[in-house]
Amino acid sequence: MQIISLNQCEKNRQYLIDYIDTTNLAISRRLTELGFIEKTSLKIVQFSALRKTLLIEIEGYILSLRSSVAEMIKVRK
Amino acid sequence: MKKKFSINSTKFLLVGNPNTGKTTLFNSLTKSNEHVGNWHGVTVSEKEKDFIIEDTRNTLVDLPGLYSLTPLSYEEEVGADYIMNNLSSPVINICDINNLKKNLFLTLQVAEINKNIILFINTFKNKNKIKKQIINTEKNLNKLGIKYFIGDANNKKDVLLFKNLLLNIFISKKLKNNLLNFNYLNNNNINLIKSIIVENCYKNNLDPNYMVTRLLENDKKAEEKLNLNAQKKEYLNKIIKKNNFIELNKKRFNFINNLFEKNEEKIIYGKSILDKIFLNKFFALPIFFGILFLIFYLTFFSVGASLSNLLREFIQNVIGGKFISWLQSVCDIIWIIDLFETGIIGGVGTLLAFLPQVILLFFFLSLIEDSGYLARIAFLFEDIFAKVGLSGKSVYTLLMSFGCGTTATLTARNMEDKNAKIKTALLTPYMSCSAKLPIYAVIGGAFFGANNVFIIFALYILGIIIALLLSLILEQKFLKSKEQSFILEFPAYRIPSFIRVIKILWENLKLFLIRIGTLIFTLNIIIWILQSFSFSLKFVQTNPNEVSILQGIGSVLAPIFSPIGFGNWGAVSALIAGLAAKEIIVSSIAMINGIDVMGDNMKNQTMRSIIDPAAAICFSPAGALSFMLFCLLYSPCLPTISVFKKEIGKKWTFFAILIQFLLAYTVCLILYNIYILVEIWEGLKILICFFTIFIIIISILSLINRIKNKKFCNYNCNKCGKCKK
Repeated sequence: MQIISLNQCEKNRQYLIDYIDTTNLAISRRLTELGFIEKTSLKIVQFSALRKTLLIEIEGYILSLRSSVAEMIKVRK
Repeated sequence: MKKKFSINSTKFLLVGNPNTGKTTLFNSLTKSNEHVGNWHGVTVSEKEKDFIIEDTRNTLVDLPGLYSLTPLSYEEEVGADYIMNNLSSPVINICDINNLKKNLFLTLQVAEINKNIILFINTFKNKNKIKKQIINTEKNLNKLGIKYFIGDANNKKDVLLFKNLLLNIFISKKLKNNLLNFNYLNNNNINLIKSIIVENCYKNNLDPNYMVTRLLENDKKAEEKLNLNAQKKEYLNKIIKKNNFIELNKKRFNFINNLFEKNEEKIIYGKSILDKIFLNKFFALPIFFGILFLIFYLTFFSVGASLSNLLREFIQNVIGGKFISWLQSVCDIIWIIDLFETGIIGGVGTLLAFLPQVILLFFFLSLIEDSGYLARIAFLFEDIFAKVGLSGKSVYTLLMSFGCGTTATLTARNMEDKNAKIKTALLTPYMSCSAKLPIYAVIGGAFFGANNVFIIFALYILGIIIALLLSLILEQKFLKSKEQSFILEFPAYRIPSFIRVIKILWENLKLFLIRIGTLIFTLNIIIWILQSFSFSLKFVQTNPNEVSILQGIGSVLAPIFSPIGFGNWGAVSALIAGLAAKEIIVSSIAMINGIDVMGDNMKNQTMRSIIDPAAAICFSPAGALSFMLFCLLYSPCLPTISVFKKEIGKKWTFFAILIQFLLAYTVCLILYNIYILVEIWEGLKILICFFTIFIIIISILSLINRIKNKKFCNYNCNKCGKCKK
């Protein structure tokens, strides 16, 4: 099982979160507060034109994230 | 008979995630009309209002949307602090029935420190339509132990039932809230931590229970507020792990997940087939520009123009004509008649006639916001915005600036990054506001006729492009943004409710009329005085040798503006007047050129007058274009300047004004001279050709770029080194 960042993932495929990179305390905390925790399943719905923004489907709702933030989310392939 | 209210007044706090219907519930409970929006960041400070349940008078506080009690932005900090300072007040926690799991996180955080909490589960629609969903929700919430109410915040009956529930639980205390057991907190040394910080809490007026949970979440700001000495800090670092928040939040979500059945039917909130069109790789941007163009067309032409003309006729013939005739019959003092005819009816009347168009503009803006399309726009432009140091959250502020820049700037408070907030505020004046609408309609209309729709569209787009370039420069040199998170929830598409839209229109109508009736009215009279009387206070019309004050001032400054195409005193005077409010520019032109209220349509008269070389203010086509551009760029109006001072400080306000003047002059200089050159070679056609070719080139380049990237990379990581992954 490989662990990669969310922004390296493919569209329309379910992934399981492995852990959140806590280098940036405030943002990583906000991610956990929004439901991005270990073993949660998510999926990329759409990439933006320049691929700097992602539309994520997680736990029943849709969220838009910057690529730099998505990089903090480590998922299992 | 006046109702007597009991003295006991309870303060209720309205708390919830952004976009859950807090403000709708606030309005329903207090029967007021605070602005509701389908975009978080619309409530930017607490709002307190009284509301009545039976014979008790209570207070309701509407707090900004919160995802958690650990704030990231200024508006969240306001909300979290308020909750901390009012832990004895009962909390109404509003949740979205479609998004319960995420909403319940805040519920847990608040319930951990404030036992007096009740949930309002907003259904956003008639309860009968979602019976199954409600049954499932009830099953889940019954396990939670917190009292709840499921209903539609917009429905009067539901709100009444909810009020009764509030009465029984918190006021007459007939029902009790169940005791909640948060067993996930038990292993966290809470009492030990409390004993360490309790002294500092009381010294700094902070609640110990609240502060304990903040510390367990590694909230650095909260820790600083405690002012702990080194020894205590070290002790805490030993007890609380560096990333304790991960464990804690995991436990909270496990607690929440245990309330729900494992394989429950999942409606994904925010997901829609419509996004296949609106976010489509190829169609998204063309659709966006198409919608924008449609809005322009409807506002400036067709519907908007027809309504405006009707109103103008009414003002002129019914009000103007009859009143002036009567006045002339009872009074023979010329300057009084002129004051009413030219100053008031001519000046203010010209502006009032644009009311339908302004309202239409606000209508379309509110449709975009209310329907959920705004979030899609933010997503589409996020990449470009990121490059210039803004975030998608700026989209709301900038979009609202097309209505009124002053109120739009206030919404920038929800930005997490201070520099991004300053940049966004600085850019609002370039989003041509509704006050400039009459300028384009009248001046553009006089010279460009049917082509005016393209001219106006181009002006708006030019304003946006200049704004983006300015932001880029600021990002590189002066106002670098920290890394911003840009986490944005996607709302579901919804058909804008008729009532909601009418409320917004009424709100803006009121603001428009108040502004016209007070500020604009006064300014118009001042300008009328300045242009009707000379320095020695002689009435200019009856003393042809005298020069009006305005002409005196304007003539001095006029030569400065010759290189950019409008070096006459009238145009310059109008611009000076426009420093106070942009609406005055057109009414000044009408007044200075002298229109006959009893004559032909005022707008047509004004348009004809500025072509007439004999008039006080006249333009050449090139000059007209230059003038419109100058108005677009040159300076924020007085109300905006005062908001700037409050929101971004004196230094940046001064900077904003200076940059705008320099930019306005430079851009007009360039464009005016290009236009003159182009005029020699069959004018407008060439300009439009250039513009079109420019857009085609950009599109081709970006398409090539995309194809190039696709050819080599299958892994979509954006680091393209043609890797070996």
